[in-house]
Amino acid sequence: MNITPRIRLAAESAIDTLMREIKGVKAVVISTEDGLELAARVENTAQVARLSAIASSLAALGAVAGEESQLGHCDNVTIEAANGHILMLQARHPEMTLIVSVVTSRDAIIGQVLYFAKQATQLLQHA
Amino acid sequence: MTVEHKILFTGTMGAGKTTAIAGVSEIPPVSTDVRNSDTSVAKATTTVGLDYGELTLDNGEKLRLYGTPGQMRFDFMWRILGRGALGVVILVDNSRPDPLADLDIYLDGFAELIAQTACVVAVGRMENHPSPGLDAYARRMEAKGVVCPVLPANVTDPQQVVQLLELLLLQLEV
Amino acid sequence: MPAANTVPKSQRALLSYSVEGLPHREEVLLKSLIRLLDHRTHQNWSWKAEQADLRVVGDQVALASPPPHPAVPTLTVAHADPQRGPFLALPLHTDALEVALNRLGAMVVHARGLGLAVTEVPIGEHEEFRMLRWPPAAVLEAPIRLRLATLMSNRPASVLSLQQRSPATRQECADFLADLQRAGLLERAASPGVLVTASAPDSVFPDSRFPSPTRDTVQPGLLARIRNRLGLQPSGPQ
Repeated sequence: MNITPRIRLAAESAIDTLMREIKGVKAVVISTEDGLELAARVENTAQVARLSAIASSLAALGAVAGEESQLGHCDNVTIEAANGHILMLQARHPEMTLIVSVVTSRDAIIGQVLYFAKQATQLLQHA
Repeated sequence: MTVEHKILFTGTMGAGKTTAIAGVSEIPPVSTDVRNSDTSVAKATTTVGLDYGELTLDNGEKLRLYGTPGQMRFDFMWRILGRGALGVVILVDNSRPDPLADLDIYLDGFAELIAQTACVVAVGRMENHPSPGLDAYARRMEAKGVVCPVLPANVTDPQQVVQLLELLLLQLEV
Repeated sequence: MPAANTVPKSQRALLSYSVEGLPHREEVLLKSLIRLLDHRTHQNWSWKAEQADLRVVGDQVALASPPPHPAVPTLTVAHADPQRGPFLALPLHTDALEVALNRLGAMVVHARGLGLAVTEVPIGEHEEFRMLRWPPAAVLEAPIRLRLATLMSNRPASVLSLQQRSPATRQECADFLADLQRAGLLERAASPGVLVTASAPDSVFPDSRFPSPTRDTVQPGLLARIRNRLGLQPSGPQ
């Protein structure tokens, strides 16, 4: 993996922000689009061992779903589970596409998560 | 569980899963290729979700061809895609440093599917990379309790892909 | 598809050899040379742990033990000839090895023809066998054998069941099983209710060694439809 220090720093910074700002956040993982983890922060209850790989598959399948339904580019993939949510977005930096995954508990507010996650994604894209 | 009409293609990055399906599918294959960030493999893209191709049978039903991602970190996809499959074609690239170790990964990863259905191992690039030989593959499979056809194949030739599928079907005959 | 051995079966017998009492390095070299010579020898030779058609022994073994079976030739490989029959001097030379193999191979084939061969256990038509391993190219040299071997993958078969499930003749099926047996690749399938102990090293997945017959049944007609769509001939006798 050839990740420039600038991108790495930007990823760490994005994680800092998201962990700080999002109510109910349990984990933030930033990975390559082919499923390799770049940076992660995890509350001790969250399991994110394979989230990078899973997120890359879901992001890719989300893209296919969007294209096949002729709805255009896929913005994010959201999973609503019994005990929380997972939100996955793509950050398209010119050097490489990254995937930002945010895991939250049930008491997170999806709108807030989406807002901060999109903001973080924008910053990453311009790193 | 009812058997869906699907056949899996698996194997390492660059072994030819996407190519094999493209040669046989009647639709241009759907693929979820993304940029490969693994600098140890000289391949620009890699499958992270699945490749998908299909054939329509004479009664209108579909035979679905799925290519899985090759890396072990995607083994959850192997499980998902493997459910109800008729069988699996394992593509091995004999030009890689340790193709038998590669084979082990898929024999393990698809062990249950192989035991319950059918499997064919197709070894690519043997003309310029004759070692390990087919008997070494056969012995490796025997050590894992697997007996199935292993043969050289060039999956850029659709006819050879069809022959791999035929060997798969032969094992399913009652 | 695999390149078939260009010499037809009727001219190339499949013989086995065992090795006893040779230093490890010589044994490894011997096996490599025999493999290398495969395109030149009159018979095909494959290594077998025991009960082989030809015994290759070191001089200590040659001096110590009488041959276990009168029809099994013993070839001594050593620095000095112990005068116990056929002998090949070390260091091994491919030409001398080739000559020895051809001569001894002819003897074995002749002995077989006289009904004296070691491992000829007759195979009953209804007897079910398991194939232990995907066979080497030498056994698969006819295209029909690729089909027969595939039919035996992970599933026991008999001469009759192979004939029923393929376009092969009964003789072709019988010959195939006989060759598998000679190559040490055949095992009697256990009848139901008999306790079977695995002879192979314990697999991590013991169930796959003797797969349970409870497979999902394939929808009737599906395989025929798939064959049809792929442009393949129907399976079974033609």
